[in-house]
Amino acid sequence: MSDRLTNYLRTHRKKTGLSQRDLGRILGYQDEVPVSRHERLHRLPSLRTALGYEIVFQVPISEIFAGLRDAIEQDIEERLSELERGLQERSGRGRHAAATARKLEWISERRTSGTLENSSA
Amino acid sequence: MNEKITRLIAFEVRPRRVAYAAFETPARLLDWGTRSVGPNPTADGRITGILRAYRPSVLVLRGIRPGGRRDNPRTKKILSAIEAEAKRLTVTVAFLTERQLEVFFRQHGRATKHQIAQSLGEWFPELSTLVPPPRKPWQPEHWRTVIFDAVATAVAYVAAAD
Repeated sequence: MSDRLTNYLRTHRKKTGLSQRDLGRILGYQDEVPVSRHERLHRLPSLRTALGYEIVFQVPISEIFAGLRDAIEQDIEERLSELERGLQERSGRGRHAAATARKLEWISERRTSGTLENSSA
Repeated sequence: MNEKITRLIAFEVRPRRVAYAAFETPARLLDWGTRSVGPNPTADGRITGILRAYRPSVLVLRGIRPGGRRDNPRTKKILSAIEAEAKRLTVTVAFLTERQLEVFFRQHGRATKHQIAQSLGEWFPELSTLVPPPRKPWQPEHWRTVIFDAVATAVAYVAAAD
């Protein structure tokens, strides 16, 4: 489980001094209810609203929804590893050998570039 | 990929209200606020809600000095209820003495609650608009003072832990 909170909406909003109602209005809602639900994790915002939060706070979505991003990343990495294992089992065989090799190459490249990005961060 | 993040929450207890301040290491103020408390402080889930939302590794409470102004049965009852709830949620509870708090802020030349609140408003600009006005001897405590007491407890605890 990620150490980071699922989202930091409330932290960013309180830093600005905006009320939930102010923020709701800025995002095009009638009242504060959707913002409250997003802050309390009762509901996930739509992509449009999530981008709205990014624009309002001038902070990347991945930082606002840091814990959620970490959880998604973990799921994706696990599924990619599964895919890689499956591809390795059938690599070099059949009509799709070239396509399989390309996919494996991409997974390997992705891992290397990810490592470089992380080490430079 | 991520550095190990530690969160702490400080609660400041008054007979009918509890203020909280949530921090993330190294010194990121996440949230603050107050909650009114009834006779059974943890029954309505308000305190538990804060603890569940922030999943702190440490809960900091200010201890009660025997015979001091905060030494009353209701405050003690609320403190022990919060402590028990934190333990139930496997959150480590730490107590900061009033003396430790006083020593920390005196090092920064701050002795009164108003001076402490002013300092906290400078250190955390998001709190600057909330600094209560200086209290006159005949006035009751401003309702926002308790929030600054919670923030002060958290800050002094982090400084003492360092």
